[in-house]
Amino acid sequence: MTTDEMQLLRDFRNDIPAPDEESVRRAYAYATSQPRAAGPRLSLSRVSPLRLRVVLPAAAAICAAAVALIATGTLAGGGATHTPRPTVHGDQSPGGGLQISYFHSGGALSSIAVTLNPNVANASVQLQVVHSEATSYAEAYAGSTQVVFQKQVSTTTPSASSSALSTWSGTLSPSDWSGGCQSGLYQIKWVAVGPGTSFANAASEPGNEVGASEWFSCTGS
Amino acid sequence: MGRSFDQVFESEYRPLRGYLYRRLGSSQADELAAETFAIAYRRWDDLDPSRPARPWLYGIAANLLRHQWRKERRMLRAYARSGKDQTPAQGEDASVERADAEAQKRSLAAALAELRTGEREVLLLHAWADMNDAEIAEALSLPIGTVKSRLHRARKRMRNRLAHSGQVEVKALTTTSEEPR
Repeated sequence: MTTDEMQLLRDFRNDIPAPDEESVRRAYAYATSQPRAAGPRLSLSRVSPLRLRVVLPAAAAICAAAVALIATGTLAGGGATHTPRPTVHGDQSPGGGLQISYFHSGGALSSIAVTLNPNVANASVQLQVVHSEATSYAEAYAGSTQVVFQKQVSTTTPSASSSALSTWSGTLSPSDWSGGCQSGLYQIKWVAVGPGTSFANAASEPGNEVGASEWFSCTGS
Repeated sequence: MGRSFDQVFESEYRPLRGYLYRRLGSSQADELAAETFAIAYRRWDDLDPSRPARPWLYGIAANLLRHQWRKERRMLRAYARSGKDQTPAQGEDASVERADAEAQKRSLAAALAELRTGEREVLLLHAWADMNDAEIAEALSLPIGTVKSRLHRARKRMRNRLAHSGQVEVKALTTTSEEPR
C-alpha cells in the first residue's frame, strides 16, 4: 500500500476516456458561436485550419438539420427546437429546497415569495440577494457579484408530511435591495446551519446546506 | 501576441475536460468544459496577453464547479459507501481489481468528500491539473499563502484519514491470517 497520499490521489480516476472528436468539435463550435465583444472578425483568408475543420462540418450539419426540420413540419408548425447548448444552473436540491414565485408590477419585478425547506433541523438561514452586471447565466456564474440584500431568519418545523427538517416562508422586495431594481441578473443564495453553528464558512462544512436560485432579471417581466 | 483562442482550445480543452471528468463524470465534464471555453471565447479580450491562459481557464471552470459541489460530494460519498464509482474509468474492471486497491480508493473518496470545498478545490487543482501554488492562486483569485495553507490542511486531513483506514485494513488482514486453518 502506498503511503504517499498525493500519489494515490494522482492515480485516482486517472484512466479516463478521451473525448471523441465529435464532442470536441461540438464544444469548439459552441464556444466560438458566442458573441465576442471586440474579438477579431473572421476573414476567409485568415480562417485557421482548426476553425475550418470544425465550422464547415458544423455549419453543414446545422443546415441539414434545419432542412430536415422544415421538411418534417416541425419548424413550420411552430414547434420548439432543441439546440444542444450546454447549460449550467444552480445546484438546487431535488424536492424543492428553494421554491420561488415572482410577482411583477408595471413590467418590473415587485416581490418574490420564497419558501425554503432545508434539510437541517432547527436551522437558521442566511438569505442573500446578489447582483451581477452580466446579461447571461454563464457570465453571471463566472463573474463577480455584489450582495445587495442580506437577511437572517429562523425556520420552523414543517408538517409531518414534509420530508424537510425545517421550513421558512417570506417575501423579498427589490425595493429593499441596495440599488433597487437594476439591469443585469440577480440570484438568491441561502445557507442553512444548525443551532450553534456560525454562517462563516458554513458552505464548506458538512451538515449545513447551501443553495441558490436560478438567475433572474428584475427589470423585465 | 502569438496565442490565439484556437491554440488554447487545442492545447487545453482535453486536459480541462479530463480534470472535470475526474471531478464530476462524463456528461457534466462535457457541459462544463464547453461552457468554460464559451465564456473564455466571449471574454478573450479580458485575458492579459502577458499571463498564461491556463489558470484563467481553470478559474472560470472553478466558478462553474462551485455550483456542483454538493453533487461532487454526493458522488464521492456514494463511492466510499458502495465502491461503485459514478465516474468510471475506461476499461477499468472493478471485479478484477485487488481488494486492497479498491479499499484504498474508497477511503480516498471518503477523505475527499470530507474535505472543505475550498481545500478540495486547491488539492485537486494541484493533483489533477498539475498546477503549482502560484497558478492555483491566480486561478482562484486567492493569496498564495491561502493556497499553501489550504493545500497543507487538505493533505494532512487526507493523510490522517488514509492512515486511519490503513490501520483498520491491516488489523482485518492480521485477524484473518491468524484464524485457525
